[in-house]
Amino acid sequence: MTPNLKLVAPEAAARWTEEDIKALHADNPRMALDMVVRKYRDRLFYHASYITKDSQEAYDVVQEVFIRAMREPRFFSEEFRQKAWLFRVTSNLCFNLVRDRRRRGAILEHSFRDEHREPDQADLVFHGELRKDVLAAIDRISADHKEILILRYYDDLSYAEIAEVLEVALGTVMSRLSRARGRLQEVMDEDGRVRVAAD
Amino acid sequence: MRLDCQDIADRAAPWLDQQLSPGETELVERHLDGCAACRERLELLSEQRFERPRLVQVEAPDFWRAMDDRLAQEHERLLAERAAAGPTPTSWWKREIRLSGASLAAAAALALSLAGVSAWQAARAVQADAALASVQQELERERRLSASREPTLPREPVVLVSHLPYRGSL
Repeated sequence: MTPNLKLVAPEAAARWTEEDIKALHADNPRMALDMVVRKYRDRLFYHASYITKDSQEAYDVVQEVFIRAMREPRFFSEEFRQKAWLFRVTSNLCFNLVRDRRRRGAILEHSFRDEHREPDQADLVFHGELRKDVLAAIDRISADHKEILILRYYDDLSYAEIAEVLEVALGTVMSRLSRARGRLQEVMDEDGRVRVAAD
Repeated sequence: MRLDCQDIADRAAPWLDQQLSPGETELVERHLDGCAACRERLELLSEQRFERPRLVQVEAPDFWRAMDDRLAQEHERLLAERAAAGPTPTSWWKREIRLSGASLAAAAALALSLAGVSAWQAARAVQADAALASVQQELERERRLSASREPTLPREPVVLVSHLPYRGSL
């Protein structure tokens, strides 16, 4: 019996530390990977959803991220920062998707797909009293700024964690986040002026 | 140290998120006390609301189950690939380099340690030889003195070896 058996309870996934998972990996690599999936899949799914605004794409990205993790030889090594790596790879895949989508001019195709989605398929609803101003404006600023705002204010990562995800210094996180909020404000102000003019 | 308006713009987010050190916070606030433009700007930014959209995720057991299956398949494939690649997935020349690198390192370490040991031994041997030589000189001198002086008083034995460095094998 493995001494780490206590870690296997799925409801405790959020409490498993990276160290626990790495320790388990030596005995049972398949289960260690399973723990990584349980621990991070929801957060990565939300992260991907905020960027792509498409639940199916978000699911596909999350699956691809875990396949890459499995094939990353350093993933379970002592110094490896799993959480930062997972968020970084998720971000990169999502922004690639968004860029490709834009490049293809796929807006029509996208809405067509939404209409024809299977009703029993997993879905994600951005609904209710959303702050549409902020969410709409976030899509209109640069990818760097959008990413850092999502990591901080939607994924709830600390400044230190963001520094690890983006592989930049803490001071850079502070200034980039400040500029992102400044840029967001400019876009929202422009929107406000457009609306006032339209009224 | 004083901060200018650009410094404040670069610290807006951590100031609003209360992530600045107490010293930095004080510097920012000192600037804000005297700068209405920065105060106004930060007030605007403070009104931004990043409320998480209430993501209502319709339960997706099918998707996660499908993902688990896919990951299991991928894992099997990965194991098969590794098994097919042999015990070491690296190419032979990389292994050779690594092996020869390791051997070189080991040889170098051994050589260094041997060199260190033998240098140390040599140094100690020189010391021992010098000590022995001085003792022999002392004995020789004693012999000459005793030969020249008849009769001699009984003398204390000469203590020879207590200060000699160890010369045995290590």
